[in-house]
Amino acid sequence: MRKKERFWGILIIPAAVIVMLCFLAALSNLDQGRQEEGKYQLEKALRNASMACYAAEGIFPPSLEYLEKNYGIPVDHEMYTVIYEAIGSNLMPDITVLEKNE
Amino acid sequence: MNGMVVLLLFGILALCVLGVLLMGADAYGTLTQRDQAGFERRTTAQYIAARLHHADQSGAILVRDFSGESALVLKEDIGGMMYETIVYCYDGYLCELFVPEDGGFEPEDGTQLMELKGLTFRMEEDVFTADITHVDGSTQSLTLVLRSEGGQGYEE
Repeated sequence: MRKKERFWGILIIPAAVIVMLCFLAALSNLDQGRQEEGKYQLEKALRNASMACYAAEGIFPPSLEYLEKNYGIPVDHEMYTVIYEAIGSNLMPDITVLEKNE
Repeated sequence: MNGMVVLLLFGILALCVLGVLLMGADAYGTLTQRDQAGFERRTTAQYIAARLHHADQSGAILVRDFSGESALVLKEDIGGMMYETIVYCYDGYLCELFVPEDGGFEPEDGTQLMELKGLTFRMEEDVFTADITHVDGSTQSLTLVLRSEGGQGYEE
């Protein structure tokens, strides 16, 4: 009986460590997914706002600042770098979003 | 034994936390999909209506076949030369092409504006109708009465 108790007592520590590691791995995976999703959603929001500007005004936005000011797209400049290339007022601009720690 | 119970409880708590996070992510995904579908419905109709209002002059609006695709053609005179803005659906996208009249361009030359499943145009006298099929399969019909006289209707 003593041996059995000792056995379970020893087993509990690695079991606890394994459970903790699995939990932290799952959280880390979720966090990484959240960052990827944030970047994707920002790019999609910028494209959608460009299209909304074209539909309403007949021209694509001339700059990123125009989009931020008139279409209320909040860009976190500390977290993301947005490369906005306006090719022409009747052509969809080239939009690329990069994370700043990439 | 007590330690195992504590460990088991912790495991259950961790699973519950992860479950809530996953449910939240799923709800967020559903909301963004719904938001995107609403945006596509509004913007497609707004775009077509805005284009028509801008080009609403006598004889400037017509509907024709563009290499097998139903197309809205808006004509305008720039510096003595006639240009056409052609709006159509091609390869799953709402497309726009701005070219000189009879430029000999093909549907793949247009700019893709947004995803769209289908788009057909009809014009009977001054009544213009666009039947829009969105990516999610829903349909929408836009009907406008042109203010200018003598819409050219359908051109073969």
